[in-house]
Amino acid sequence: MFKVTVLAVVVAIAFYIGLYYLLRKLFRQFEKDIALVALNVSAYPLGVVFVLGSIKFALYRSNLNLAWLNSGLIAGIILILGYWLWRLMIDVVFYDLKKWTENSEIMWDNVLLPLLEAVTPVVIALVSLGLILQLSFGVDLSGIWVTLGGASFIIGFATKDILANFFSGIVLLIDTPFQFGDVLRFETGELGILQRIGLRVTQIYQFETHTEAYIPNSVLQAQKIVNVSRPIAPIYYSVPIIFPARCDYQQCFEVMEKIILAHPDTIGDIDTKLKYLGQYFNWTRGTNHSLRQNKIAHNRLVAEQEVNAKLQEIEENLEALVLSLEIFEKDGLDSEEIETIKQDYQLVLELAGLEFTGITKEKKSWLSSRRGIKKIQLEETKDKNSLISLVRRWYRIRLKDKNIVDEDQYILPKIWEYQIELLKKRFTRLQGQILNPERIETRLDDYVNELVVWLKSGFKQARNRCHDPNVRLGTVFQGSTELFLKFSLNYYVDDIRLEDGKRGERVTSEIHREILNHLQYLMTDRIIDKIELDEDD
Amino acid sequence: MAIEEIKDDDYVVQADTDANTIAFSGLMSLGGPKAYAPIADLMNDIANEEPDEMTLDLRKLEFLNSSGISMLSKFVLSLRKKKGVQLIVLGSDDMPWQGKSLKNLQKFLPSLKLEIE
Repeated sequence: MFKVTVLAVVVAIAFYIGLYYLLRKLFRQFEKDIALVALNVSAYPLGVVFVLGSIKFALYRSNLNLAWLNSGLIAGIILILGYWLWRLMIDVVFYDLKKWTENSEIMWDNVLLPLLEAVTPVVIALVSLGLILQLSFGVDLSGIWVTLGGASFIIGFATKDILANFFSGIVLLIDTPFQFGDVLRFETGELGILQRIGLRVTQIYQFETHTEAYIPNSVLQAQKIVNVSRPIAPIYYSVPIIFPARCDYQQCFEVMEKIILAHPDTIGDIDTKLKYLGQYFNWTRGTNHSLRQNKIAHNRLVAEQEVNAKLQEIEENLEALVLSLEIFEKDGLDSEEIETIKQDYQLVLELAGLEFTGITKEKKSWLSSRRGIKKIQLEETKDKNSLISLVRRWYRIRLKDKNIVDEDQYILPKIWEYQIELLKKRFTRLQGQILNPERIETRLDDYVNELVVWLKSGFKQARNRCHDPNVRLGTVFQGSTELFLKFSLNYYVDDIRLEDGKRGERVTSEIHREILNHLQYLMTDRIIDKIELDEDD
Repeated sequence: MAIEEIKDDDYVVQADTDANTIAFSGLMSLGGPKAYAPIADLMNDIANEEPDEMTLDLRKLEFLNSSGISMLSKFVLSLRKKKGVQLIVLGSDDMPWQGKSLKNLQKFLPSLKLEIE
């Protein structure tokens, strides 16, 4: 018995050395430390389990009647396996999930992860206790399992709605059809901003009633929802307008297009907007108040133009980096090429308003098996012409708009500070990849390209000509007294989350009013011309 | 004929602003974007005039380091905005670095006319 036990301990030590030192050497070479941490977490518990298992095996072979020792060994093995599983979940699974969610834009990190972190240790502890009682002390738990099964059925039946909402919430969080801040149109026709998906209910801010609605997840999941913020955040309007056919429709076209373009809250070429801004909406002929509004609109458009120009500069530099990388990576990156990439990326960071300040190591806690994770540090610069500064300047000017309501003073900064945070995360991630390109050198160009695509589609959208407004002649129809022309005015309104959701209505109303003002004037001219011609005849 | 020249022991860059042609020769291994800035300015000055055609003659350029390729990439991409400018790049099969590099430039600027001797 003694010899077998000693042999088991020796084998366990050899196993420990092999597992721990050899594998640790191998895992240290990996880019991510997940394997190394899993090894660190596993080494001691598995070593102890192996020793206890060996003793138990020796006990079994020796035919000694030491039932209390046998029970203790089984209990010990289960206890240590439970502890090992708990540490593995905390140090490896949840830790890496948290890290991953920090660098991604998924929505469930604040909802599901805390729940899993809280529930997992309890489940592990209960299962371990049950196994110890049953396997080690021979307690018959079948009665408890039957009771638990019955109780689960009753509890499940009583809380079936809550459970339905819970699982619907999980499905909504994982299979994400929308992002926080998206504007949704429900089956009832109401519009609302998605604020939070909880485990039981989803929080929606309703424009029309200025209230927060808490919709059970199962109800939300069962209905057809239109995400009006996709594919781009500005909302598309197609509004009909009817005029008598006697109007000069060529001139109507021209005036209507100019009016829609001139409105500062529609999407369109900013140079053209600045050109027409003074000609329409009575702003230059108006009161001090409207002159001030005109000035704010002008400043806002200029600020947006600066943001767009800076974004374009960054995108061009990143695209040049993709081109260089495609050339370099054919023969593998040498040190000079890596240095060039770093310098080029540094320039892009400066344009964005960020600075690489080094790599810090997180402190290792006494409970953690981690060595201390390396963290890339990007800090904001004070450059007033950087993208981040220009974006802040732009949204601050927007806050001076007289149409902006009190809530917008909170919503608008929140929207853009969130975008700036995402920007920093993406630049930080790419910085890490550029600093250590050894194993991913053939993919670096793809990573840079991903950032370019995100800047165009995720950071600030609608900078393409395809989003410019237009006027279409729809149908010609006979009214009771004369022919009529039906036009459609097609345009995007920049952000309908503002002004308590009434921004779209206000913009549409202002455009209509201005069109009617100008076209009535044109029609009156035509009528006067016609009257004069008739009198001459 | 207006000729502007930037040269060093190892290389010569000659810009003919009348013919809108820039000829490179020798070995270029300058240290970083700042060192290449005068050459980039020379190219941009001609491109900013938006000529119908602009030629980069690289046939006698034996070597261009990674910073130089980066400068060339940026210049080529900047021409996407100047749709009226036809860029012609003259290269040579005798220069090993050009084979792998110049075709990629064409991928990012399809209108680029590449003439390899």
